Amino acid sequence: MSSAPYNYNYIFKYIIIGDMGVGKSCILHQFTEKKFMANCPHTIGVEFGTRIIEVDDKKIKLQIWDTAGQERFRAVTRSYYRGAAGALMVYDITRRSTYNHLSSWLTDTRNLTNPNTVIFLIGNKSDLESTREVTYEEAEEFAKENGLMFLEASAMTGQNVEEAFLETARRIYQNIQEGRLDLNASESGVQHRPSQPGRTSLTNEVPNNKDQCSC
Amino acid sequence: MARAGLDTTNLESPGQLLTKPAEEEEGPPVKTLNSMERYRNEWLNLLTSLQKNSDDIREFSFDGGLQTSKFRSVYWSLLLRVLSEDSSTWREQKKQQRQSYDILRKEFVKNPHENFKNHIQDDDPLSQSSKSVWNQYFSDQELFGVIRQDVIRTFPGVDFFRKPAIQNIMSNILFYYARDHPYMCYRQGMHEILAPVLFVLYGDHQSLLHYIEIANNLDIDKTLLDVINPSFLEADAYFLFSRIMSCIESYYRVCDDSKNSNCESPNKENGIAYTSEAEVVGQLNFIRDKILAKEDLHLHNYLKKLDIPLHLFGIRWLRLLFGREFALLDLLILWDAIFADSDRFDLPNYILVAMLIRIRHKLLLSDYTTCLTYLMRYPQNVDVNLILRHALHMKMPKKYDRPTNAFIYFTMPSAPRTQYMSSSPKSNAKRDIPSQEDPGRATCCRSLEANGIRAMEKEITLMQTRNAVDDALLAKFRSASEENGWAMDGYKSNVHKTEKYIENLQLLRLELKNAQTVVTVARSKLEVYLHTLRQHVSQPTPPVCEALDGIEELCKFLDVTFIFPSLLVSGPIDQALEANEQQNFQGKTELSNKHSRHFMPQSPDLLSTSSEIPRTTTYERPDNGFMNESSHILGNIKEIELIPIISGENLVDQLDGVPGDVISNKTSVEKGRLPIANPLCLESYSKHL
Repeated sequence: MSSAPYNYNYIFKYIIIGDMGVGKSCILHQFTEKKFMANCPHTIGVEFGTRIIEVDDKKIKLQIWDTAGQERFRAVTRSYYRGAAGALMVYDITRRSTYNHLSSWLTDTRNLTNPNTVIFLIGNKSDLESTREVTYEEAEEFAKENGLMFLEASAMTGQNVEEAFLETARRIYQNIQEGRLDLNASESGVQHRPSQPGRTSLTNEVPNNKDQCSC
Repeated sequence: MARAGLDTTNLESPGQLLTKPAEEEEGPPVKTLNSMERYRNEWLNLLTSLQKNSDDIREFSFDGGLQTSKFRSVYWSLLLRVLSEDSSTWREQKKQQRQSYDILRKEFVKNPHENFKNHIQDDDPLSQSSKSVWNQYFSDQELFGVIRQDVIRTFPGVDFFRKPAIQNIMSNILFYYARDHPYMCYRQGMHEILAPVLFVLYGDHQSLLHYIEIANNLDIDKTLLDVINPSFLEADAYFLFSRIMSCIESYYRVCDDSKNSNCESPNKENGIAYTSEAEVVGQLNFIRDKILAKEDLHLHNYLKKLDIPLHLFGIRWLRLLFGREFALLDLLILWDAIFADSDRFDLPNYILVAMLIRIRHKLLLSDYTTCLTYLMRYPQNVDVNLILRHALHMKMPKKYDRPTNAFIYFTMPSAPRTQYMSSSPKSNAKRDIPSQEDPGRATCCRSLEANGIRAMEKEITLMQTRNAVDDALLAKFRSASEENGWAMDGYKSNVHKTEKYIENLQLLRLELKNAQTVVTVARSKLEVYLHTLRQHVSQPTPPVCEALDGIEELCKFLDVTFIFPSLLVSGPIDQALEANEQQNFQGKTELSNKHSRHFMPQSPDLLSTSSEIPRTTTYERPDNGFMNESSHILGNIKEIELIPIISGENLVDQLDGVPGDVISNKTSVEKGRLPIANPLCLESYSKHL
């Protein structure tokens, strides 16, 4: 592991937001571990996960912050928003109240992130079709009106979870390619890693092959 | 009345208890007698120790005495002052508490379907009035739903919490608490405070029921029967829980305006108020600046450098009182001590720091992401007793000794150094504002500095003596190992292929110790030079400033605490000793304390204890390949750090097995990073030695 260059080219910071119990942590777990976590304990404060994905032959390390649904009133939460390149906004298709709160989550996100932050709307629990309270169409309409990307997904079956993360990454990467993101600004949520380690010392990031599986 | 029951049934009838059950029971008589006897004796001991000296029970809790206790809930009640120390009033207190809980229930459960009499005239289900019973009812339903959602997810791994009855009790308690404490309401995490309380109470109830069963016809102390009464599980848990909550309120409290609306409906749409700061964040900053910085400056600086604020993980650690970081039974040990400590709940602050220091070698080696991963998912193989001992030591250093293996690094040079540091606090302050020298201060500094230098000289002499001794040992050791081909074949054959360069554990240890002394001397000297320079250069030009900052950076950089190379071999040794693992782990702290002493460098008999080496696995073992590897890397890096300092004469020879590119890469980078400070450091050091 010594002299290898970084095994990724970019770091993107994501946040996952939404009401309590919509399945934020489960989506994160499904994405990083490819497993459904039944009975997952709720998040206190913040959780964290990483995975390396590939977009356009570029390796991208996603650094995903999973916030606690009940923490939204906290000043602490605000710092999680800062410098997010992507925001996954989750509601539960079987609980209308979680959908109704989307506009306030969206306001938070818009206020606390930079204009180029890619916001992706996820309607979770799409496997529970029988108890659905929010139709696909109305959510799609909401997404369109607000310029969000949208998918219905299921952390339980894994359906569309991968896609949501990858689509977001593609859009961010596209923004980079089109020069809309300033890689040098810390609030862009993107860090570029040259193929050779530019600065390595005790205190800076050491490329670590284990990142993929240790989280 | 209660007193009478206590005296007659318990204190005066031990003979009865001893003989009767043996005759009556048909099962294994000795065993039942013993467990009964123990149960009864423990209760009596509890009562008598309360009468004699109530502080005893605090000591008892600190020492882990409650681990096997059948009366943990009673101890907790006493420690938390839910029950007073006068046991004669317990029955009355319990009665009152249970009654007041009943009142609470009646007050807060208002079902508009049944409750027509108290109806406000124009109330209807659509009313938005705050007085409307219907409105209250719907709001209650919502709150109950939120609580329920969390309760069913409590401790997924523990079956106890899957019982519907337990889940109902939890939901009720949390609901009544939220209604009785509108300023707190319900916040996520509270149920994980409640859960262990319920678990402990329930366990005590089961013990009592068992006791009643085997002591069937005997008179049992009425106080005991009343205090531990299974039919009041909910009420008793409520009072313990709300007492704990009152101590940790600040972890949960937010002082923003939205809290009331939030309370009524946690998902309410409006009311976004970002003006406030959660109190717990302030506390975590306090912990970082006042405790962590004092106990482990290196780690403190490192976390700061990586921009990892404590609240990222600390909010959860504190709010749940470490409930997610330890297994339930380990957690109870921590809680015993936390409750025993004081009402102010200071101990958690120290536990938090002890937990950080415990995994410092992992953290210091990791990048941002890996660090966070360790902190968000605290390693499972950490010994809770060590954490506790260390926390107690930090809080009350006079009363509790530092556990021998709390740190795996040396504490030897720190004493003179801190003396020096504390004798010239100005030099500390100056680090922060380097180029703003106040002339008035400078004079007062100078005399202090003289003291400091004298202390320094002493320290250096001390270290040189030590070094000389070590050198002699080393020489002797080397020749011995050359002559004998070193009789460690059994050990060697188990050594991992990549670890060839660890020819000899003892040798490496001595080398590392040498190097450590060297670094410490260099660091101390540099600090003095820096101090002197700062005082004598009145108006430094930018390049000088830069140079001084460079030196300062180097000082900080050299403030490395050393991890003993025992970690290096933990992998191979583990493999060799798998059969003994169980045995080693049963003895937990005592055993590991004992063995780790072999790692302390003071005694020359280190050399003759090669047969002891394999037993050192009582250290915390790396739980997977990654940690294992990380400790190997750690060894590498620590050694590599030393190379530029001791000009690479000795150590490089010993490091044949280290991949060359790591060394060259590392050293060149370090040189690149600290171009100014480096030559200075080398010269001043080599002159001295």
